[in-house]
Amino acid sequence: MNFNPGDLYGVLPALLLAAGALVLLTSEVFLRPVEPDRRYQAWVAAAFAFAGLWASLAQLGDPAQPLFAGAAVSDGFAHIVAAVVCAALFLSCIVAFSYLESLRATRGEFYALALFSASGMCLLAQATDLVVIFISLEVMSLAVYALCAYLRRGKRPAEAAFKYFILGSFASAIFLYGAAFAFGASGSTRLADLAATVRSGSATTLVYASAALLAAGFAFKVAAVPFHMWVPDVYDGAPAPVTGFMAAGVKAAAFATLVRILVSGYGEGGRWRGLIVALAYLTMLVGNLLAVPQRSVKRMLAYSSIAHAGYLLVAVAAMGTSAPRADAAGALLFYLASYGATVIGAFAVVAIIERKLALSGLGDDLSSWAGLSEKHPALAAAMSLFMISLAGVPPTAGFMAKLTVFRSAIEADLVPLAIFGVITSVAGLYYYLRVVVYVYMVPEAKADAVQGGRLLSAGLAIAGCALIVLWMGVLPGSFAALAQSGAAVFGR
Amino acid sequence: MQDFIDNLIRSWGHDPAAWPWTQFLYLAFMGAAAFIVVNFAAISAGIFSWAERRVAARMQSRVGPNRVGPFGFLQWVADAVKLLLKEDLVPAEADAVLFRAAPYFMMVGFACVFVCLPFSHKLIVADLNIGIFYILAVTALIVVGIIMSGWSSNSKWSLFGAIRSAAQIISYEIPAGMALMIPVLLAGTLSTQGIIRAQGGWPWQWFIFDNPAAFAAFFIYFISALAEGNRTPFDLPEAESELVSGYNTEYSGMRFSYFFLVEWGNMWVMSAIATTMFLGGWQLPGLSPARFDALTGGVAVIAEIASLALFAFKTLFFVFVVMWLRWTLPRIRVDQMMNMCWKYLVPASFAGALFVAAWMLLVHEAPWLGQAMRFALTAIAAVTVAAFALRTLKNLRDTGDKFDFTSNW
Amino acid sequence: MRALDYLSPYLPVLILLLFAGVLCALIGAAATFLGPKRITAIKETAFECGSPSIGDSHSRHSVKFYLVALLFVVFDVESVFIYPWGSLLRDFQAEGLGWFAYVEMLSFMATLALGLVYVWRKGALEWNP
Repeated sequence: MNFNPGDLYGVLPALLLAAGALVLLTSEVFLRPVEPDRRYQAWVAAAFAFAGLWASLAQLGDPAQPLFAGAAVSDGFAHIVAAVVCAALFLSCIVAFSYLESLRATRGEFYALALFSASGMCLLAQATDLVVIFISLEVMSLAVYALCAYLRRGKRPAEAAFKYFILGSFASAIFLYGAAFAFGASGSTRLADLAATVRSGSATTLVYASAALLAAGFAFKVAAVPFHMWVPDVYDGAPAPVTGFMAAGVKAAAFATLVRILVSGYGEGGRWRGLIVALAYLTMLVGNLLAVPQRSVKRMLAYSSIAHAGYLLVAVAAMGTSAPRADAAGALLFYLASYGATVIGAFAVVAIIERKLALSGLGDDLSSWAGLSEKHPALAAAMSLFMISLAGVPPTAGFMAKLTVFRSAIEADLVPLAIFGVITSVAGLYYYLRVVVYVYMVPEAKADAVQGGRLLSAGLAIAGCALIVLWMGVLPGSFAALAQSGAAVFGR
Repeated sequence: MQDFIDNLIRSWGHDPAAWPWTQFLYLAFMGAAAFIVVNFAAISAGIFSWAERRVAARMQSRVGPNRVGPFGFLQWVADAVKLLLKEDLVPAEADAVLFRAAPYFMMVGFACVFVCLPFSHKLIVADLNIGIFYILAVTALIVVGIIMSGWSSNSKWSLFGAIRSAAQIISYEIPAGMALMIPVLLAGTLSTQGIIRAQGGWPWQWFIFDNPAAFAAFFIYFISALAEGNRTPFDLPEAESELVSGYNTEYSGMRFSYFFLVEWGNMWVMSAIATTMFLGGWQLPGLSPARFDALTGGVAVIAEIASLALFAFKTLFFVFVVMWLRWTLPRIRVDQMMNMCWKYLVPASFAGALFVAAWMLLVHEAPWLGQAMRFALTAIAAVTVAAFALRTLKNLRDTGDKFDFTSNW
Repeated sequence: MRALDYLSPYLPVLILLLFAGVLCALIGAAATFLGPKRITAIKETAFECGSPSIGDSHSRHSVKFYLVALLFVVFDVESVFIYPWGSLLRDFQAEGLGWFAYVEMLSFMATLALGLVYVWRKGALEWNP
């Protein structure tokens, strides 16, 4: 037994976030009489998220090293994912502040739960042991389930949380089953030992079964297609800031772990590549097709999130070759960051509109977005920017992200997959641009003015997201370099 | 037990490793031990049912059962026969399968505890290396039986009683578990025999007097065990006046008696665990376990019987205390019961575990401190017991015993 | 074979389980065999102090019971984590890692205690709020 207290530094972001969550929990129960509104909570949470962001960026240059006798690892890949998660949390906290404020729902443990889930995500990106992966997965998931049901009143949040919880537990069980198989095959829960078993050639049916089950467990979390059923209802029922955080954070952490398990655990060029390629085809096709008929913007974004999981799976599949994998890993990280920024911005706009709709009693339909450009030109411009970025049109982050992903796929001899990806993104243009059409060209304006003042913080977050999206689209150099440095652990 | 059988085979002139019947003999002995233990559990529960009524009668200046056999001792046999001859009813709206299955869970959960419950130096069915952990795990089966019986009866009283009971038992499982952690800490093992061996024959070598937190832990365990066994003052689930009879309302005949068999048998279980974990178990004063192991021949048999008797004496004393409490204390309210568990016992048991760990590390560096504390606590306990006895004597002298010893006793 | 050796200490558990089940079944069978069987409609109803039963007995119960169940899961799982530590503290001590192991557990229990404080202040422990 050798425990090095210095290892705790390696998981500093997760520790900071967990500490922040504990601080918020304690303050929630002790400061209630003093500060009944609990407005400070958003700023405390944002401060801890920022500290986590700073910690993960500060560790970026450190050499990769195993932590806790190989149960976790501190490397650039994990730090970049942690940075994406912390940034997403930071922006979501700011959005949530004005959202909850306007719904008079600034009570309880919203931010504490968000911090807990973020700490689980950071650990998930670092874990290299199936048990640690499972624990951090549950820390993340349980908090997110509760966040989905945060606005308890009404049927939809309850339905969303319950669906997510039941199906999520099912996915966790599948993951555990796969972990048990992996343990049975290799006699250890460490990914490194699993890789040694695979490399030794004594790989049996047990190993392939475990790979399939573990991948299936995470396919649920990333919303890949045969496991996507929960996405529309959950994205629709959860509060919009939570949905944005889920789309950005959960996806980033789950993809990071998927890559970690497949690449570090099941070795290079393993048979898992075929599985991921098939998943990618299916996910891109179904996600884009089902998004077309959606008239609710939230549901459309939900299906779009499935489609984007497909593009991300292309990058994962591109890592399953003997070609340089660092490119594909870098493309994945860049994609995760750009998608995170875009989707949080988009859901922040949705949050503002949704709040207005809730006050005026209108349903969430495209027609209520009509004429937004006249009342709120800035909001309309931001929404259009995010839609264009999701569609993958230059000069936005989405374009650069798709470009790098498809390029890495072509380099990995996955030309048909890349071509299929391009075709489906062109199909995606239709439903993204439809939102822009409604915002700018359909005149009838039902919606009333959004209240001022409280809009400020959400507006700041939207502006921040828009800035990142544009910056990553126009000057992707520094971000791409960062992503490449993080991905260097996977390649030569 | 394996060594014992090996020696037996050797005494017959065979090599245990080569003799073909060795495995068979192991199995036969295990079967015999299991048979004895199950019967011991059932019969002791029966005898306790008589003893409890006698104790209750004595405490309330009544006569109690005194017709069947000497002092009415065979009353429990008569009761068993009567219950066998009663009609066995299953309500029409009950879930018949679960209704019939529930008592099995109770009985199995109860009987399985006896696997690692020691009786004497050698007498134990199996000294599992996870002993106390196993005991905590299988006792939880009883909750399953209670919930099943309450749910399947399809009667409101049963379900209320079952849910109350489940809430009570699972709540008190936490302080009980943490209190039993303390002997585990002190002994460094989970095996029940190992924990007894880590103690000694003299009171100041017992874990209860090891340090103040262990002393408190004994009482935390005892209170929690009372609650887990649905014993007064925690007999809310069966509160006759409000819930008719709780989870067993719909049961009749023999099936009904299983629940009470388990309740009475549990008195032995909880007392034996307390004896094992805190009170030195079967350890004879002045005879260290190593020397005990080395004894041979007739002396070994005598020492074995003495250790059995000592263990039984300590255990039966606590069985008596449980009965005594039942006829002394009133039933507490449900909110008091929950408050006591979550607001007092749970924090206290966690703090106690931390204190004991720190104490161990401290004593490791200053052994005299541990000795001084042991003697001090033993002295305090002795003085308390003496003061209690003197006070009782004084009360008896002042007011006299109102019990009529002449008629009917 | 190795697995069998590993599990052999648990053989008595299995045997005892069988014995307890068989004893239970035997006595139950004897009771059914010996006891009278004169079932009437009244006997078969659920007991409710003589008045006819209204509604299903499987109704909704107070949320307090669910809270207790959740708290139990949290704290029981934690005490399961603490047990291995408890049985190994002596070994840590022998290796001179005693205080280190203590601080480890202290931080674990401090977090747990914070959880208890939170639950307490939140009012989840009040049976009659």
